[in-house]
Amino acid sequence: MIEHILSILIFFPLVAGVLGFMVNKESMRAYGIAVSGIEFALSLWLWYAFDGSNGGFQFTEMIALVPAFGINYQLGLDGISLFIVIMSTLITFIGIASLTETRNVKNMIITLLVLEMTMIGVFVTLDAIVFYLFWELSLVPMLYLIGAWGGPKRIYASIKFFLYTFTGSLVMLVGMIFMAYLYQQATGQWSFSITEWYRVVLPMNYQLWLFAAFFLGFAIKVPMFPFHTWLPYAHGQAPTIGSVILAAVLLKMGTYGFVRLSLPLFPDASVFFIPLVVVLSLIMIIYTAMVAYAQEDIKQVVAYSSVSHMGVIVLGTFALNIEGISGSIFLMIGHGIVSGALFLLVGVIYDRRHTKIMSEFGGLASVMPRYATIFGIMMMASVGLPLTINFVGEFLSLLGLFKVSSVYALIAGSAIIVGAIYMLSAYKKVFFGNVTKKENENLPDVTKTELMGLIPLTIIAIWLGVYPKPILEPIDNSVRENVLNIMYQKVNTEIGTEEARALISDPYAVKEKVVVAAAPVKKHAAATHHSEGGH
Amino acid sequence: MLEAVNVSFASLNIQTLYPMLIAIAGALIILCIDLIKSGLDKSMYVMITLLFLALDLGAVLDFVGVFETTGAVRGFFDVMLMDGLAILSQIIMIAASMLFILLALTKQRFQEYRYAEYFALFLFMISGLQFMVATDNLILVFVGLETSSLALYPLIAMHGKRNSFEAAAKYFTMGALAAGLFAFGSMILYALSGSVEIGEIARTISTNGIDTGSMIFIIVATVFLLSAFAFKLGLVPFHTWTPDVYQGSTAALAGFMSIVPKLAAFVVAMRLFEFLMSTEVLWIEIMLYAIVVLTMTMSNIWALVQKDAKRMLGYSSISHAGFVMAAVLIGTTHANTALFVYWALFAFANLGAFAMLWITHEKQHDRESDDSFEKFSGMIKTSPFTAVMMALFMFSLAGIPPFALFWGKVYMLSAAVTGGYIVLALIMALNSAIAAYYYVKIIVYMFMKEPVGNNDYMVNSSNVLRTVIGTAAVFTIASVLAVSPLMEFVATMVYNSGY
Amino acid sequence: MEMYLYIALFAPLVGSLTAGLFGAQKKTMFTGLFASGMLFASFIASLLLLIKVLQGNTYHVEMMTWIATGDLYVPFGFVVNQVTVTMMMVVTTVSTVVHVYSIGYMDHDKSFNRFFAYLSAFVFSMMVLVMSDNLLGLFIGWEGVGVCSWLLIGFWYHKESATWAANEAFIMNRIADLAMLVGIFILYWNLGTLQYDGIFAAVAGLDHTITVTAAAFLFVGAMGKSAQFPLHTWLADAMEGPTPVSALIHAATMVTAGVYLVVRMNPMYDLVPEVGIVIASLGAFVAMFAASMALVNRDMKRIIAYSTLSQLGYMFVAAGLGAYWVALFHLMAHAFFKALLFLGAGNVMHAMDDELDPFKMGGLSKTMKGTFWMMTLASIALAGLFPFAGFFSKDLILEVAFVEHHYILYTVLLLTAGLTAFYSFRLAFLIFLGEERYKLFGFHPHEAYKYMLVAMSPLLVLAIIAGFLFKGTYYEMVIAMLPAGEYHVHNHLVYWIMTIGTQLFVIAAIVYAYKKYQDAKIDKKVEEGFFYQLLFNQYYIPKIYDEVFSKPYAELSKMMWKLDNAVVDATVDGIAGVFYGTAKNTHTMQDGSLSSMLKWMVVGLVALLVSAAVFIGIVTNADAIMKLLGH
Repeated sequence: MIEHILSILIFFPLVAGVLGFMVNKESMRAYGIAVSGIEFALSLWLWYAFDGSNGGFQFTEMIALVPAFGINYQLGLDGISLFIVIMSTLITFIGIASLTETRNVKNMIITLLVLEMTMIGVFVTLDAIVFYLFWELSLVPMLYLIGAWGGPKRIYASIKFFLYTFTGSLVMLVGMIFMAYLYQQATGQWSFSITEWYRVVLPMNYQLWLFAAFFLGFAIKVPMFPFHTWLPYAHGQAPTIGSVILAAVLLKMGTYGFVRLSLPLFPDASVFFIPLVVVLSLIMIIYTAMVAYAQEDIKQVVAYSSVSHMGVIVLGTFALNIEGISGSIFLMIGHGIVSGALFLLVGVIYDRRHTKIMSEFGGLASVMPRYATIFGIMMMASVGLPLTINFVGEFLSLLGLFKVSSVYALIAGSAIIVGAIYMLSAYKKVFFGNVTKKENENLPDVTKTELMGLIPLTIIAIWLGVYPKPILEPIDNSVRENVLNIMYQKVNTEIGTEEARALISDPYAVKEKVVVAAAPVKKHAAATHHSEGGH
Repeated sequence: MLEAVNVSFASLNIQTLYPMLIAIAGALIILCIDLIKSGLDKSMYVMITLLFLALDLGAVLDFVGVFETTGAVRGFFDVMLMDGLAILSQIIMIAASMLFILLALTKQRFQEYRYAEYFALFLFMISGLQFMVATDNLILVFVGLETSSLALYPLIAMHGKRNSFEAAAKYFTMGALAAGLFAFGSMILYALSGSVEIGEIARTISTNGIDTGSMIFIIVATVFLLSAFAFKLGLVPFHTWTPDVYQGSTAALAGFMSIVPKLAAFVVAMRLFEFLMSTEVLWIEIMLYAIVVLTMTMSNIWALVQKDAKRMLGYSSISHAGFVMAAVLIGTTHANTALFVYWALFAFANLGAFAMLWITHEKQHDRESDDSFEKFSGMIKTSPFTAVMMALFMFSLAGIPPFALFWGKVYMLSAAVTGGYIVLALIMALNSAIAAYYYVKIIVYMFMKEPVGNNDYMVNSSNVLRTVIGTAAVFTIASVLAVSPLMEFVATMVYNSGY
Repeated sequence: MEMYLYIALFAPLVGSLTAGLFGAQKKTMFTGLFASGMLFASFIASLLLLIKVLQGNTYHVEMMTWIATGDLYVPFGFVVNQVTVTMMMVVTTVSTVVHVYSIGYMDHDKSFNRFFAYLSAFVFSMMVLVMSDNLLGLFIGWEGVGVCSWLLIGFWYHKESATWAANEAFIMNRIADLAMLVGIFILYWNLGTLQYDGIFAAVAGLDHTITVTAAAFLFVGAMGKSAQFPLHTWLADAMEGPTPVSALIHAATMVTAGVYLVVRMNPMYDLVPEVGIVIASLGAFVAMFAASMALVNRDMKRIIAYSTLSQLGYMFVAAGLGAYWVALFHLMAHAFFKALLFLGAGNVMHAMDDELDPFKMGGLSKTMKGTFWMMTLASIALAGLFPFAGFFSKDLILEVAFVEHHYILYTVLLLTAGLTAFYSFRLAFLIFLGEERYKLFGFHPHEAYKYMLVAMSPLLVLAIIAGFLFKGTYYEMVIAMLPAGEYHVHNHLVYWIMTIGTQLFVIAAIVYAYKKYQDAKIDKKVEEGFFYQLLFNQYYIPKIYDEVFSKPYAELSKMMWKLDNAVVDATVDGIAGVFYGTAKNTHTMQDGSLSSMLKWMVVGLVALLVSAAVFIGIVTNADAIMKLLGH
């Protein structure tokens, strides 16, 4: 069974979802919780069975799908994808568990389960076409979630979300096909297997075009400036659960794509495009942070903030060194947990007041102390306080980026300032001051159900901040093995560019450690300080 | 003093005619039955038609083996040509027709099905189409073309609505014009080469070499032939008949028209342009390119603003035709394979989609458009299963993986890429992005809006219809598994016929 | 011994969490007592460690790995050595006192429990900051104390001013923290480690300019926490917090973290004297600058806050000039008497229902003897009169400046000493002497609880004896780590002139303050004066910041938002709109009339023909055209 664990992970939710049609309405919620719970448990088992010291792909499966055309149902999992998968299952589980939606719950849960399948599919597949398959398929349930349970402008938002991402990924599809064609030119047979592609060393001009094609697809998903405008609408209109999953998991597909495809396939192009990518990300960080500061709607603040943080993730990825990439992957997890929690939290007050406008609140700290505490913790995690999950990722990403350019890192670092500005002011508006509105005077504090979702996330956010090792180690190994080593090998062929060689160092090279002697005690001779003051 | 022409019957290779003959025989038999006893129920005729189509299909499949062993079979004074293209296209056409004819078994009664002639004409049309594809003789192509068209017009008209008469009339008039163009074009080629067989023509031209004079001839000929096919395939700007005709005829028939006759036209176009392109007259390529892009883009754009589902699907099928026409432009084996693969997949998806319209068709003669989007709003609430089905076909048409047309799209794009048409590939990709909008639009209506009035979506559904749709749906979903053998089969067929 | 280390470190955390459990409930005396008990435990543990260290041992434990990736390895490691133990003593002592004091001070506050949760959490962060064996660990504490100070400044969150001040403090510190991070990055990429030992071992071999940049960036970080100019405005506003908080965080411990950082990193700063000079000069400037603002201020707590600022300036002068042990010594001494001063102020506030304007007080010495004496003695210590702690620590800094031949700094500091004496006694006299002006405002002052005074007494004692009693032992201890240096002027004459001169100058200042303020008459003429206004408005700096940074930032953000909708998003919709528009305008060609259909067909045909004709024309006359084009 363990050797097919990935397939099980993918299709269990789908099957369960289909069967869900036959479950009666009242017991649907329980059913959803059960299924997603089992799925989460399975993913934990995956972790248990996973060999962290091995950076390569594990639990690989391979079934020829369209042999004539080199399309295989090829699965594999490494440290990079493992934790994103677990995070996805966890978020889905928690999302369903703390579901407050009442309209048409049955369809919603089925949709969520299908969505879960697509998410996991994206992260564990090693075949470009199958990757694309899940990538596209994930749009459909999301379209439905936003469009059917969303706010007043939900249809506009959902279609915008759908078409925007769809367009980008179609360009990526052409890129994939071209990549496969190049592979076919090189080896004489078609293949969409990513692991196969890893072996192809492409000439620079191809790399540039292909990188661009893939970049468009990923950048829209991330979403990077200036392709981000679908996100505020999507978040603004989506139901809580939709926003949670969108922010926590779907956005990660883009950054994951960078790590899994762009970097190893087009190392020289990646180096070549660093300035562009970095500049876009810097704009993304600061600009969206400022926009977030200007928002009146708390949910929009969180939405823009999550864009801003995605910028840091991209920067870490394109630092092209272990610190940066591992950091960015860790930050993906952190961002998932934290922004997911924040959207859940926003949902809490929205359920009570059916408004998200901050001026409608104020002084909630005295009315809902527990809520205020959890929100506070999550906010601090979001602004990257040490010993919370986001700090590790943010620090490493920036640290990595600093290697590329100190100036970039300095500007990017302003994320910790601007982030604090909008978050604190938002928190102030909602929780501090006196209770001005009558409706707020006796709002109930967080309920048991809501806590069921929030407490675990809070614990994780702190636990991984204090002790990231168990996650960081496997990520580290896989980044060496499946990203940097491949890039290093490629850029050191005759095709590789000088810049790339200069930047990408051998991940397995043992740096000579700084010899740590006992702290030297520098004793000045007291005499040196004497003076003839006076004459 | 003439000496008697004597040909051994064996050399006639008469079995190349069997498939068409079967169809014709079926038609005649139906007519006879009607003469003997009129007013029999449609189901009886449907089944007879089905039987003969089955026989027909069998006869065609018979050639698969022959083809694989001995290659293309010529027959009947070498007029017939049973090569891979012919066989493939006939298989697809007949299969599609079999699904289509079943759609006649609706719950409601429609007058066209009361006439036995309807089914006879249908079979005649099929045979005509078969002739079209199973030859490289321009005259026979013409004959086939006309037979099928002339049979098709009454089929449209028999629906007996005002706008179906109108549609038939329009189609007829323009069809006549197109026929004229085709004849004229072929005449020029004949004048140029003294032959009406595409193969012959190609050979003569290549031996004589192309000087300015012959180039002019070729170009002018191309102009007329291209226009003729553009009409038949509904390529912009020769598409104008499509939406009206589709709207005029029943959803089922519209679906049929969007698939089967077009395929026949594609095959002929493929045969023709195979050599026209080989003359390396730059203009031809440019024009094809222009028409392909124009067709895809414009029809997509027009589809955006349609308010009637059937019209929308009409435009969508135009754009799909343009998409596939790209294969003719690219002209590599890969591309030609892609054409058939795509069309096979498209056949099911599109038939399914139109069948969904058909199933929800309310028998009201007063309403101009009976498939307005509003009709579908809130479907997920009132009849979820139908909604899911509809959504399935829409996603398939939009090329969302893993549904049928996605694979066609991928294969077609890869054909463009390998053919060196990267830009074209990008244009195609972006077009399917535009297309996604109007497919999603229906889904938006079905899944995200509240129901208006109490629509009974299943008015027209009968077990048979459900079966047909089910089949289409299953194929659409399971295409993942079907696509690989399909590709291989098609590829060998196409390759061995030298395209 | 490690156990003691862990107790010293984690006892406060335990206290905090326990208190936190009751955070939402209403006051339970237990939390206060428990938290204080934990603090006391921590204090005892630190004391024992101190003894051990005095015997010459140091301790270094690695609890567990924190971050390890690539070549980066950062453990949760803690050291107890001569320097850290000093800090630990200061922190634990003051915070224990403050905890006990707070039980009384926060007596009537409904968020009693929450307060102790925060306060102990702060102490924990501070201990981490102090004891960590690597820079990133220090950064944990660094940010931790930042958050706690945010929580505690904004403790009365219903007050707009409080929450505003809290955010200001946090954000300003964040700005500095960025610089600090950059410093850390530089060190990591050049030395491959963040462990102090590793850094100190390798830093000598580092390229000088890199060392300078690193040192500079780290110092900017220090400026933030220690509220050095230009990042000083938050400290005064931070007085919105409860007074014990001001005593503990914004006087004794957190704000001195910057100084501590420089002292801790002394092997690096030793290599870059030029940076040292900058630090020293800035310190001197701030000392004067802050003192000047304290002269005229009419808010009791702000006056003390400014004096803190000014004293931090002193410390930086010492640290900048390489007299790290002096800096640390003054840090310690200052912690004691400044905390004492604040707590005294707290008593006064209690007595006066949180009235802060000393001009509304006066004559309180009658009703509040204990507080009166404590604050006066504290002020004497602050003014640096013999034999109080201030004398030994502060005058030492003057001597350092003198001995190091930085006479300008020396003069500045000397003058500042005068100012210090003046404003601190101005405050004391205004509060305690003169006629009882508070009667006019209908206050009914009363002395604070006995045990609050008792709680304060250790500080009083320390403020008095810390100087002459500890200096020797302290020096012997810390020179194990810090560059030693007997900063005394050898020429006796000069020495005595200097010392006595300073003392006299200070006394004179005090006397002047007495003359001017014992009857608290307000000199209108002076108050209208430009300088008075300038000082009273803190050199208009807060205003300027508001105008130059806060408001524009808000405006800009609004603009950005508009931009986002009006440009970025509009473009996207625009592109979609183009297609839709085209459709709207062109789909009319589909008007359903047969004639137009035929027309279109013919149009297509003709178009093809024309293009064909053109093409043929071109091909047939290719050469002619070529000529035309001149090839």
